[in-house]
Parts: sequence; structure tokens; C-alpha cells
Amino acid sequence: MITLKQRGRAGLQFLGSLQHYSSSTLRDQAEADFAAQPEAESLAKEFDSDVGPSVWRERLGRARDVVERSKAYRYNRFYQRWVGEQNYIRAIPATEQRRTEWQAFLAKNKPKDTSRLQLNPELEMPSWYDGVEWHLEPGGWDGYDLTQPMFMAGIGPFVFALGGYAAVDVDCNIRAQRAEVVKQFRKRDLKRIYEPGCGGATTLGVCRQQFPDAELIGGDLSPALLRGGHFMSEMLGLNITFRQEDCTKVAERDNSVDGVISYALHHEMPPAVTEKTLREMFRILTPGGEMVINDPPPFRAVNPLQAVALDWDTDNRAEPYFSAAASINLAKMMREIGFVDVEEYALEKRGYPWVTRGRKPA
Amino acid sequence: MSRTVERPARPYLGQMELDDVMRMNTELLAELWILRDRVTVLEHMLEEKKIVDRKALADFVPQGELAQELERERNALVTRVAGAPHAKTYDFETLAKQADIG
Repeated sequence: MITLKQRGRAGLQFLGSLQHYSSSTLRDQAEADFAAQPEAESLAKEFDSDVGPSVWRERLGRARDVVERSKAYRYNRFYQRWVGEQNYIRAIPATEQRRTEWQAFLAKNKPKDTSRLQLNPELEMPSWYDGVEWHLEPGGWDGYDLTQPMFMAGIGPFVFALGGYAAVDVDCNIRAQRAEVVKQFRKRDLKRIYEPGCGGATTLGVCRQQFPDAELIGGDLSPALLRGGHFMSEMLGLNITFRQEDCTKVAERDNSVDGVISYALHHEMPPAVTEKTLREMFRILTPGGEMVINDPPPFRAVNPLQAVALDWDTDNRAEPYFSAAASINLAKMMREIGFVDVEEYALEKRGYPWVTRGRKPA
Repeated sequence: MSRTVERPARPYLGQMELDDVMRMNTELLAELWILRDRVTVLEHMLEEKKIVDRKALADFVPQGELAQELERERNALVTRVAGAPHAKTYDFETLAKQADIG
């Protein structure tokens, strides 16, 4: 691997500290400020009930006016946005300084088995995906060829690992969270697991630890993320197959996988695409097979301040579908598709990870 | 594909200019930390090579010409920063006196 030079490292560590301060001290103060407002109690009661997207917009608008009375909240949002931008403004030049070293590392660890990376240059990118600069990254997932080392050597350990962004609470252990989500499969002898929108090898890597003999397959639209996942998988001997495909039309046959894991995917697609994806996963699941989903919590599962903060990501951190996704009822959608034994629950405080799981009837 | 992230039109702190000032302030805070990190690393490396004793560095009290130089620099910095909102004019004589600073 590579390590960043002092300036890059210290600059990113500063971002981690600032985000931590913003998401703990300022966030706590903002919550206390909100609780002291006369409308706080009635808003909290309203937010408890499930309604359609248009009602959520109206509710969130009223709640935002109350939440933004807090100076701590306004500064919290300022720092959240600033750190969101600076992650890339600082990490890209810092990673660029190590381009030669990274390329040498890649050359030295060239994957031996290339059959496990199946790219499709002919694949047409769906319009909802094309051109989105996710999380304020210039050019999106495929905009920068050193995205993988930028995250692994910079943004990942120095900023994201501390939590305190989007639905991820401050001071949580994001690695342990992932393992806990994979543990939500009720069947512990899965033979074949598919992950739609896998990105890299992170979640499937955890699946490998918990299901050492299972066949693991990941699908994603982004060739850069798939290449990165394949590289890591081959280096660590995880034996994962990566396939470039649209998760609403995957290459798996009917009834061919007994587990589907979806991690932080559905808030990055419009609800209509989520529904198509769930139908597709239902198709490929074997009877009795199970799908486990982790995503940010819906608005109905969090308090008004957190709902306003989650909604904020839509316009302020390049998450165009965040609010739409938090307005729908994923569990209800799964039941309508035919899943049974559907459950939804939070694993930790502030509603994240928010797990929804269900089985295809046996 | 676009490679330009646009900044939001809506100010976070009530007024766009206030956001701008906070951006500058936070950027400077980041630079300040990067410098402090570097000085600490530098001291550590110099101590490892037995060139500088960090305890002696912390206990050192500047005297004579060095003390005067530090005072001059410190006062100039305070005047430049704290005085920035209050300075209405500038003139040749005052500026010329700054030639020996820094």
C-alpha cells in the first residue's frame, strides 16, 4: 500500500477531527436547542407516522425552520459541507503525489485470475446514475483513476473511520457495523451470495469471513469500483466474482442464489429503481433464500432533527435520491413483491445501521 | 462527464459573505494544524538524531536580540490581524517601517 506525505495526511486528519467535533459537540448542542423549542414535541409525534413523499416534504420544511434556529446546527451543517468538499480537495493532490508508488504496487500485485472480473464496456449507464458526482467527488465514482488508493490511504482511515457523516453516527465502528449486518442472515449455511451495487470488496469480504465456503458474486455499474474490488479480492484471496451489470437486470439465473446482501445502496437510487432491484433479487433468490438490506433509516424511524439532517444530504452532499429513499417503506415494498418474514430494525442508536430483511417463500 | 462540483447557492450561516469568511477561517485553521503537525514531527526527528532536546526547547527562554526579534514580529502580527477591520488609511512612512519585519 501507499502512505500519504505529511501535508496530505495532516490535512485529512484535521478534516476527521473537525467532522468529529461537528458531529458530537455541535450536534449534541443542536439537539438540546431543538428539544427546547415549543414545537419540538408535536413535531416528534408527527414524525412517528408513515406518510407519502409529498407529506414528508411539507413536514420536513416545517421541522427545518425550527431546527435551523439553532446556531450550533447551522455551524454543524457548514462544517459538514466544508469537510465533504475538502475530502477531495485535499485527498486528490495528496494521492497524486503517490501515483508512481501506487502504480508500482499495482504492477507488483497484479491479479493472477482475471476471469473473476467481468466488465461490460457496452453496458449503457442508466440516466439516473450517469453524471452524478456522488458525495461531492468530482466526476463521480469513475471520475478519478486513483479513487481506490485515495480512499484506502486517505479519506477512509482519516475521515470516514471516525463516523459522523450522513446516517453514520460519530465514534461508531464502521467495520464492526458491516459484520453485524451480515450476521442478520437467519440461515448460516449460505452457498451462494449476490450483492447488487457492491462497489468494491468490503461487504463481500465480510461475507467471506462469515461464509468461508460460499460462492460470492458482486454486481455494480462502476468499472473503477469493480476493478478496485477485484484487485483487493485477489490480493487477499477472497475469491469473489465481480460483474459489471445493472442490478435491475443481472446475469444470475432464476432461483440461483440463497443470499442477497445490499449495503448502503438504495439511498443512491430512485425508489422506482429500488423496486425493480428488489423484484430482480426476488427472481434470483432460491425458495427460502433471504435478502438482507442495510441503508440509512427512513424519516419515520428517526427524530425530526435527524430527519432534517438526513434530508440535507440530498442537496448538500450530492445524494440526489437520499430524501426520496428515506420517504418510502422498504419493508412494505418487499411484502408487496412477495417476500415473507419481513422485518425492519435499527442495530445501533440514531437508527443506523437500519436493517430490512425478508425471505422468498420456501 | 462533469468534473466540477458546484457550491450551494444557499448560505449555511445566513449570509453568503459570512460563509465565505468562515471558509477562509476554516482553511487557515487547517493550514495551522498542518504546520503544527509538521513542527512536532520535525522536533521528534531532530531529537531522534540527537540534534535537539525537546525538553530544552520547551524550557528555552529567548533573551537579548532573539527576544527583541520575536517581540517585533509578534506585535506586527497582532497589528496586522487585529487591526485589519480598523485600518482606514495606509501611508508610506508606516509601511516603510515594516521593512525589517519578517
